[in-house]
Amino acid sequence: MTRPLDGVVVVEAGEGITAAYCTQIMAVLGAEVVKVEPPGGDHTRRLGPFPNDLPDPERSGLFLHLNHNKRSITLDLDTATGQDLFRSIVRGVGIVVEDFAPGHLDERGLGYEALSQDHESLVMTSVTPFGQSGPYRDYRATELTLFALGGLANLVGSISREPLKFGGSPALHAAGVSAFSATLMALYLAEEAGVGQHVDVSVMEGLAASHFQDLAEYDYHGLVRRRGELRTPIPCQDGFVSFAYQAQQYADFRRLILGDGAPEEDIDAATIEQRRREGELDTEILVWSYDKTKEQAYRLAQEAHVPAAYLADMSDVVASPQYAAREYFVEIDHPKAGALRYPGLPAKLTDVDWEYASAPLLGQHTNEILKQFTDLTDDEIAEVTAAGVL
Amino acid sequence: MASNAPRLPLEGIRVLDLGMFWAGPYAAKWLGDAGAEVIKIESTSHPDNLRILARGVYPDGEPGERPWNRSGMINERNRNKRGIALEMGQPEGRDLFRQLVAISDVVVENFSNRVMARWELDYPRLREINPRIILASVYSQGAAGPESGYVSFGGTLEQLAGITYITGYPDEMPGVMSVQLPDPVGGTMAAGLIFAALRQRRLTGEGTHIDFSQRENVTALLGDMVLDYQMNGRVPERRGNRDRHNAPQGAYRCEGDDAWVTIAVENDEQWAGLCHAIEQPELVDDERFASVLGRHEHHDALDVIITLWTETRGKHAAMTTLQRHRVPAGAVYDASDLYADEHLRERDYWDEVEDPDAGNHLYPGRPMRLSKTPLGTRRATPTLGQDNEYVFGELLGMSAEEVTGLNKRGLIGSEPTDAARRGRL
Repeated sequence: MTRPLDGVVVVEAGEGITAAYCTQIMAVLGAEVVKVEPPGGDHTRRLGPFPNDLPDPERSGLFLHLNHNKRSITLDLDTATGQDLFRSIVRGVGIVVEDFAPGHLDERGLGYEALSQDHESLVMTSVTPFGQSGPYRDYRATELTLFALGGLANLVGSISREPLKFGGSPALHAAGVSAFSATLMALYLAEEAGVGQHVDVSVMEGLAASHFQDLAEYDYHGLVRRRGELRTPIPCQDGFVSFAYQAQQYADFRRLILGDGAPEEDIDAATIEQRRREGELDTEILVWSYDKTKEQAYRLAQEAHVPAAYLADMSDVVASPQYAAREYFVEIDHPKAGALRYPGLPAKLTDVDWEYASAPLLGQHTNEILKQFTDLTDDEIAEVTAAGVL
Repeated sequence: MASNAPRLPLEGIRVLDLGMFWAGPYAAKWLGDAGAEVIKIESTSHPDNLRILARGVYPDGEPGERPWNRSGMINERNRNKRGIALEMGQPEGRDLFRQLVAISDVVVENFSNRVMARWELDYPRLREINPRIILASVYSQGAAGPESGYVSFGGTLEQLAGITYITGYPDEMPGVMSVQLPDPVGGTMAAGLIFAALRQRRLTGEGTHIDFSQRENVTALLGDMVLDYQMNGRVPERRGNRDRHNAPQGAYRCEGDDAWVTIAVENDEQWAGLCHAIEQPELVDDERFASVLGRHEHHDALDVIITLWTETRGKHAAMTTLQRHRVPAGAVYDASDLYADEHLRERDYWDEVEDPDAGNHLYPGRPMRLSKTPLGTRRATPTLGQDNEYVFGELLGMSAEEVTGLNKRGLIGSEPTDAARRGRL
């Protein structure tokens, strides 16, 4: 069995979600990922969530989720020795992924120019809020401020209240996905033609490319779209469902709500859209939904070919029969955090089984990584350790 | 492109894009951006739904004579592609498709999981034609499982994957407010998996079937919450713009119509920066706010203090002042703000494209730039059936008469059928 990224070696360094999520995907696809952490540990180790809310750098849910299938080395990149060791490791890999602030690695002699000097096929991906150039290059940013600047918050929430972010950190994770795909795009050329390059990923620019209708409306005819009023989903016994039928499913939708006797009509998509906005069948929908659970309502609608969804909370997500049938969640045992079920790769490839391994303890693989990528002897490693570099 | 620049990553790769709407076409656009020859396949009876939306986005609001070529929705997502209109519902149409599979590397589709099998074009059969073919199925929920046949859109996937439930105002009922984020993120992830499959093919000499679930891809973005639920039994609820860690954090009203600036204070240093930015340095010494725990506890009071400052300033001015004090802040941008933004302009973000029927427009660039192989728009979105002659004549070697015959028999064409124009597919 050959996995897609067998033989690819990646070094990841940084301080957040984006680079770590990018390389976590690569790791499951078969790449060997070396995570470089500062001696105090990766920033996300301090963020949690923790079991029983007791902070423990080895049991942070965010860190565990972002870093399974990787190995960890601690390295102080502020020291000359740490920088030398980082350069040695990079000489043995094809890809570097990092999400430090722009300039951070350059100032330490570890930027793309320096690292690619005698390593022409190196692909180096830098993920930052705003990219490596431009007036906002050095601006500080978080999930919320990027969701706003990327043009998404304007569209989320109610116009009578403040704009909203999505729950969780989907924007930063999405940037990790962009970094993953962009890195593999560059890797393809590097392996075909020996040409490596620097890949500059901007979270804001990815978000600005993720919602096009309002951009088109502005550029094509000058309309500035804003969020409207929240559409309240349809209440059921234990939660909510919603319908998303298009014109071609309209007849099915009417049959679902009104029964088989619903008269057939030949009307166009615009009229259907108009009726939906005017709340056609609102009462009949409530009569239909009130005695059903949200999952029953969802299934009945979908079995009748009406696109529908239920509002899944995290307990529903974890218990989803569809996810169970796909074996989407995978159990990974971690020496400190125990056995937990993690989201797996959202794809299956013919005749390939993904393998999962626990996130590393802090510096768990420092010695073996140094022996693999450098000429240091055991004594020298002890010396560097004593100096606080590791 | 200068002649000494390296070739684009996927030059020499051919992609058949059966995708509709967003996630599938977006994945294929990544491949086109990377230099592959992407052939978008629609039909006159089933054009991409974005061509025939009930409320399309047209230049100056005018549908014009050929509205199906004038919608901004279609013209953004299908750049760097060629396009044909081929009747896949007809056996002869599928025979032509099979001929294309024989000379292609990748097929992208985002139909429901029944369609390709019904057409006898599922992976085992494509593989018989071309063992090196990669079939990327950008399914809603995967090939198998009790819900795999269900039809979804970006909004329904946000709900099923767990995002909608945790988005909203804590004092209101949950609301449905989709921005369809699952589509671009799913398309992007699918593109990455296709690059990975191309690499695997280099190692094995064989293609593969990518059985992708857009719903799973969205839940994966919430992995920390999946673990929190198991560790602590915690089911996250709606919390507006507030955060578990950062405080204060929120969207604050500014001067102007629906004008807001978002602010997120991650640590004590940024808190001090905020106090100076809003010209209340004495707050640094206020014990209530000295620690992040205190700032969480007194968040409502802080919101009032901050709003008193922001509401007398424009959103850009507020952002600039806060950033000067090293405080994470971002104006809430609408489309006009994005197009005007100096940062995006200086980074040459927008692609200017001349569409044959829609004229000259600016389209968003990409999340990434490659230092040696710039990835602009080389080709405008094809009009419906634009490349029929190139594909059937040049690629499949049919004579002009044969291509005319296809047209006459309704197998190819360049105008949607009447039913398609009315949105009743």
